[in-house]
Amino acid sequence: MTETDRRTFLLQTGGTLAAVAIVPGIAFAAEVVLGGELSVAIIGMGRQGRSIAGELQKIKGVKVTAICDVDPGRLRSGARRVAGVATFESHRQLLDRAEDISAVFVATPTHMHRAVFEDALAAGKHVYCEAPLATTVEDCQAIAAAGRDASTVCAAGLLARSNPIYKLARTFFRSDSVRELVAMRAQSNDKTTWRSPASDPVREKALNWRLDPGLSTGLAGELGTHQFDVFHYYRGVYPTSIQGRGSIRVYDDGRKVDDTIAAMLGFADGSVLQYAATLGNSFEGTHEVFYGSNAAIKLAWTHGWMFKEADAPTQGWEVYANRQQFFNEEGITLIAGATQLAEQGKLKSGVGLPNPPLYTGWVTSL
Amino acid sequence: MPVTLATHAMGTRFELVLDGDDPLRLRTVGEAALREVTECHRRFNLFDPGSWLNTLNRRAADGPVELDGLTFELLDVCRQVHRDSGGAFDITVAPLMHAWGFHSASGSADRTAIKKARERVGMGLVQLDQETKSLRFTRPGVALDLGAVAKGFAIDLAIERLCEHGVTCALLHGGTSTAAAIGSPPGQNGWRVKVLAGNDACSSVEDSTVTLKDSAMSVSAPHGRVIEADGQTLGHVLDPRTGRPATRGGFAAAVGESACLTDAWSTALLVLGHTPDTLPNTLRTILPTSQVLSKPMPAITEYALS
Repeated sequence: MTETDRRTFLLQTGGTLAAVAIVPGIAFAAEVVLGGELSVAIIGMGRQGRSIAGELQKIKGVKVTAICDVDPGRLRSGARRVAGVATFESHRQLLDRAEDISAVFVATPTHMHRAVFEDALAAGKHVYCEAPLATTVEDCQAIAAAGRDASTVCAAGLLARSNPIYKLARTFFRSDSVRELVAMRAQSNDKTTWRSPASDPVREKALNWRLDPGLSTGLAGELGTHQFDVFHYYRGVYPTSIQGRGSIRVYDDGRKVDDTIAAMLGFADGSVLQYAATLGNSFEGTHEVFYGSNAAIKLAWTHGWMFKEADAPTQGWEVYANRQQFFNEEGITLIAGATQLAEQGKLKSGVGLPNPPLYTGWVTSL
Repeated sequence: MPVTLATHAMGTRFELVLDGDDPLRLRTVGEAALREVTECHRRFNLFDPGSWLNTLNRRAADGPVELDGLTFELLDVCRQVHRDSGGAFDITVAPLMHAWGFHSASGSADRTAIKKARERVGMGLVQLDQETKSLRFTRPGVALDLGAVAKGFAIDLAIERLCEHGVTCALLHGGTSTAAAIGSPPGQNGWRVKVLAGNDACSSVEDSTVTLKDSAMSVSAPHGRVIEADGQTLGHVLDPRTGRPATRGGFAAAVGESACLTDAWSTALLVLGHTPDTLPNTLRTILPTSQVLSKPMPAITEYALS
C-alpha cells in the first residue's frame, strides 16, 4: 500500500466531495459534513462492523447502503442498525450487485482480509481495511502490492495517525518537549473472554478465529499492531528485535492462544518498548507512554496527557492547558484546538476527543 | 453454578446472573448480551457530545434524519407511551432538565431559562415518520433525553441476545431500577425481586416482593438525583405537562414483558401519581392490572404491562 495519508481517505474516495466543513455543534463536538452522498459497504458485521456502522451513521454525506456477513444472525442484527440497507451473505455477491457503492470497509476476520481486499479493488472500489491487515507476511505484502497498483484509494485502519490528540502530541514529541527519549511502554488491558457465542460448533470455530492458533495473531497482533504503529508513527523506525512470553492466566478453557503476554521490542539505537496485554484485567485499559528527560507523554486514544519534569522549561501553550491529577502526578491535558476551546470557555477538566478514534479515522480518510 | 457478569454503563452498574450447565458458554453469551448494553450507552448517551443521540439532537431541526431500525423502534415506543400517558412521559424534556439544573453537577434552577425551555418541549414538536423512518424537529432547540427509557431498551436487547443463544435462566438489572428475567432459578417459580420502600416520603409503606419470570420490572423514584430550589428539595423526574418536578413523591413500579415499556411507564406513573385504586379506566384498558399489589400503598403504583 502506498503511504496514502489515511486521514484523507474520505475526501479522496469522495472524488467530487471536495468540501469538508467543520460544523461546530453543542459543546465541542465538531460535526463533519461531506458535500454530496457517498455510498459505502461494510463487509463483516461482527463487533467491529457494527462499530463502523454506528460511527458512519453520524457522518453526514456518507450512507451505508450494503452490508455483508456469512452469519445470518449477524446480518440480521446489522440490518436493524443501519437504515434501509441491502444485505448480502457473500462479499462477491455484494460487489457484483451493489454497483452504486464507491467504498468498502473490510471488517472480516484478519485472515480473510486479503481475499476481500483484492476482490474489492478488482471491482474498482476504494478500500478501508481494518488492521492488522493480514495474518501472514505474504498476505501483507500481497495487500500492499495490490494497494500500490490500485487507481482507487486504499487505507489501513491504523487509527493513531488520524487521531487529533495523537497528531498534536506528536508535534510535542518531535519538538523539545520530551527531549531525550528514555523509555517506551504500552499496554492493552481488558476483561473479556475474547469468545463469541454461536449456534453450532462449526460456526463457533469460525467466529472464534482469534482463539485459533492457526489463524490468530494473538494479543500482540490483534491489539498490539495498533499500538506498535504509534511508536512507528512518532519515531519512523521499526524494532530490530523482540522477545516475549505469554501464558493463559485466566481462561483455562482449552484455548491455545495466550490471554496474557509481555514483550520487549528493541530498537537499533538501544531504546526499548515494553509491551503488555491481557484479557484478565482491565486496569488502565489501552495506552502508550513515551518517557523523555523533559516529560512523559501518555496517550489513551480518546485522551492524552503530558507529565512534565520539574526542571523542564515552561512552554507558552501551557497557559491554556488544563490539568488532571493522578495521585502524585499532574497531567497536562493534550487536546487539539485547546487555545480555541479556552477562549470559548469550553476547556474542562478531563476533556478528550468528542468522537471515538474510529470516527475521526474515517472522516479524515474518507 | 451460576455465572455473574457486570459492566458499567449509563452512569450505573449493570449486573447479569446466568444459570445453566455450561459456564463457559454462559459467560460468552453473557458478554455478548452486555455488549448490547454498552452499545446502547454509546448511542444514546446525552452526556457524550459525539453520541448518536446528540447527533440527532443537533441535526433533526434542520430536516428529516433517517433512522436505523433500532432507534426508530425506541422512539416509536416513546411516542406510544407519551400518547397513552396523556403526556406524562415525554422524551423532549432535555431542555427543561438542563434549565432546572439536573444535567449539571451544581444543579441550580434558572427561572428565565426554564420559561424559555418550555417552548422547546413537547412531542408535538417531534415528527417521527413511519414511512421514511425518519425524525424531524419542527423547532430549533428541541432535544431528546432518553434517560427514562434507554436502560430498559438496552436490557430488552440484551435479553433478546440471551434468548437467541438459548439461555433459559437469567436475571439482568441496570442500577437496580430496571430488572428483567428469563425463566426462573432452579426449584423456584421465578426471580424474587424486592422493591424497597426505604424513602421518607413513603415510610408507611412496606417493602414488597415481586416475582419475575420471563418479565421485567422498573421502579421510578424522584429521589435519585435532586436539586435545591425555593428551599425545597426537588427530585429529577419532571412533569412535562407543567414543566415542574413531579411533586407526588413515593415511587412507582411497573411490571411487564418489555423492560423498555416498564422503564417508560414507571416514570409516567410516578408523574401521574396514581395508586392502583385511583387508576382511571382509560389507563386500565391499556395496562392490564393483573399484578397490582393488593396492599394499599399510598403513592405507589404498580401495573403489569402486556
